[in-house]
Amino acid sequence: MKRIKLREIVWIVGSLMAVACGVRVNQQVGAETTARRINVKEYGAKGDGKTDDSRFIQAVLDSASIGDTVYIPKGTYLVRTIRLVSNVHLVADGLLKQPKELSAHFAVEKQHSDAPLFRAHRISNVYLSFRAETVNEAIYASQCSNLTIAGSQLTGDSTNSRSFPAVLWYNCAASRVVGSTITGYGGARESTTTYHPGTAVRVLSSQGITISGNHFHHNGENGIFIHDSGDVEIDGNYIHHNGMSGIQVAFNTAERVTNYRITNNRLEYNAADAVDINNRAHGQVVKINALIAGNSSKNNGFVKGESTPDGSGIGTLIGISGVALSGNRAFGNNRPALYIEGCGEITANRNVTDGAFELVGQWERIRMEGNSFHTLRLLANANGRVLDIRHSRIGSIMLPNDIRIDSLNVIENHINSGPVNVNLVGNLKFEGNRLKSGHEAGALLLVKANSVSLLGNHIFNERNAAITVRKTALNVRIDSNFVTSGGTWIHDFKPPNIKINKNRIREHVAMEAQ
Amino acid sequence: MKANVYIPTLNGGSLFVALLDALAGQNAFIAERVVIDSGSTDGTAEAAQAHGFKVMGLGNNEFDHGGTRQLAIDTYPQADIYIFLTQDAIPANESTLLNIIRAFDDPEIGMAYGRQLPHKGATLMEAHARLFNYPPQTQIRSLADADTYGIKTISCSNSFAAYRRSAFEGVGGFPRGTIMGEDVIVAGKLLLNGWKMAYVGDACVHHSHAYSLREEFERYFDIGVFHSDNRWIFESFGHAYGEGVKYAKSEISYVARRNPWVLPKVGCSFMAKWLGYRLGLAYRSLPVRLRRAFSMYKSYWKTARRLP
Repeated sequence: MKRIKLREIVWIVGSLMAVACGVRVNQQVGAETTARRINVKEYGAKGDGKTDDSRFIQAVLDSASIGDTVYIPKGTYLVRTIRLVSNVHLVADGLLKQPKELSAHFAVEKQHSDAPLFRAHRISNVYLSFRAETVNEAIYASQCSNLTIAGSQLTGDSTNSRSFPAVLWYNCAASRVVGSTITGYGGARESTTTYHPGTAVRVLSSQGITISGNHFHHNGENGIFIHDSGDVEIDGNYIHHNGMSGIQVAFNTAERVTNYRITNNRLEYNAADAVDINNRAHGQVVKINALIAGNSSKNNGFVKGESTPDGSGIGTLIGISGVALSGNRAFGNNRPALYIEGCGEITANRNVTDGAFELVGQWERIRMEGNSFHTLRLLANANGRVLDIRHSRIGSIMLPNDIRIDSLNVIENHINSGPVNVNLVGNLKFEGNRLKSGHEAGALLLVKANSVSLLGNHIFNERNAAITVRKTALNVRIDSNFVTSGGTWIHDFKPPNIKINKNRIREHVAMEAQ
Repeated sequence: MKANVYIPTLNGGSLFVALLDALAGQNAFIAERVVIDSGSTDGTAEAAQAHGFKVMGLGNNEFDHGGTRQLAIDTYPQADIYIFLTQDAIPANESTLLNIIRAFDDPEIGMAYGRQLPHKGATLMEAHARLFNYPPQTQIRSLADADTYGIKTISCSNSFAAYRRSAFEGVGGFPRGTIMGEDVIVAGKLLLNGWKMAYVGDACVHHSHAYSLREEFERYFDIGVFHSDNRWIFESFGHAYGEGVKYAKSEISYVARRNPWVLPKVGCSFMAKWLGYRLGLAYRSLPVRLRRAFSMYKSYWKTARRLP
């Protein structure tokens, strides 16, 4: 007997419920009655793949009334450029195909073509759902509002080494790309050092943008590139095998760049970062109010198995503040899962990765709670006000000498591999942690600090002294720790004001670091 | 601390009048009382004005759980604490607002929400829902509690909730365009940013609904849509496995002890909720007309962004 699946049961009973509830399933949303659906074939379009159908489709669009939908039935329609009209929608089951001879090249000086498939300028309230093979942009919209591209399949010219993006929005508002597939814009990346322009969705100087439920893959550059724009939601997209980052956010005047929600995306096999928000050029830290959450990434930052200079898995954050990263998962990426350079306030909670968290340059306040990651790595120029790490599982902590952190709080973490080397200008709270080490240097080296509170930790050390305290470590308090050591428990160089109390010690124990 | 009260309204009826009377008797000082009305025709706006409320309309905007509340705050932002009530949440005593404001004496608290008691004359099922979800004990929760409570860590309700302005602004205020749960999203962001939230057991309002089966279905459809659209919340805070079963057992036990004849209705209610929720989770595979038909928040599906 054929098994009835749960989904089918839900559907059956759901339909019964719908009937029981008196649902009128044939009711149309909006209940508009005058809008027409206009078939372009009834107005001369051939759809034979040979005839240029541009003027027929354009004529239908131009003659349509507010709320009408221009319908393009099955077939292949040779189309050059169509000008969209306000309040007139377009739905195509047929394939719109641009002739090869229109193909042009993207350049920094000329970032839009003269012949996009759809051109929209100063229009609003347009819904598009179509299939297309284009040699330039599928749509170039400027100064528009309330544009929707939904359920579309856009294929670019992958032989064009300098392709325009599939979707280009400049100075648009309240617009969206949803449920669409975009592929082949720009040539595949062949080298670890260079890429070919060509992005799925490129948003410039716009506001109120939603990009959700899409599939962007095998484009020359980014999956999504956002520049100088705000109120952006990027949710539930699958972005993979693109020549640069899955999602890149860039800055110009910076005032606009605020309110970002980057959630629930899958970002895989892109040649650069999963998410890159880079404000390095702007020169000052910008508070952007961003939530980066629930994304998963893997294997970003490689070309044909070789490492590119990029490839963070959770995020590359440069020169920004007000970012919360939460519930992300990142595995097998080339570079640190989380790269933070010159930022203000950053919060990273409950992320899981096999990669590192790397901190570079200055920061104001970084708070990390409940994460699981391979390494915490600070670079030599690290200089922060507060770094607070708690309730996390950390492979190892790498602190270079002579960094500066006003308050370094390492609270109730599991640190699987010592030693932790403390040689900083600033104050350390190292409390309630479980630290294991099989290293020659022991588990914890307190070389230099303004003050150290070593309280309530469980330290398991295989070789030599578990804790070494140099004379330059000031105001050290070692209290109520549990130390099990293969060698002596402490090598104390007698710094001033050291206080050692109530520690429970097991020394010279034959053990292996676990 | 200076506090404002905001209430979205639409034909609030007699419960809203009761709310206005209860607010008039509060012993907390309220700087600004704001009603944002979606076009009432039953005198709701006039009654609010008569009680000293600032009354504002939506202008050209559709009602939006987050957007409408944010519009009210944007219009009247001058306060340290923003308190939200729904038009049918009636303060249970004169200290209701004072008690929720006091929660912010703790500088780590970013938001607080109050206890909801069933309305007088509430059905067994609606009474149980309140008693189960809103116990008398006050509770402070932070991100560290996520391992224990999962998604329930950020459980809250804008039927009676308050936000510290600095914390609220720090997370960008209420999100626009969500089918529901604008309060939960803000709570989640607050905890991710290091704030704590308070459930204040002695700040009580009477607020409950006697939903029909259809309404239960529609409400849970919307919950399913919300969960489908905001999976990041679960990735960040975890799930609350077993809570549904625990609730069901509790409700069966509660109803069976008081009036077993209601149990068949309880069973149908479970079925309606489960179906609604499952369909809501899978809403993307439903045609738009069914999404709208199944949803309690019909106007949410009007705009083009919900079409695919």
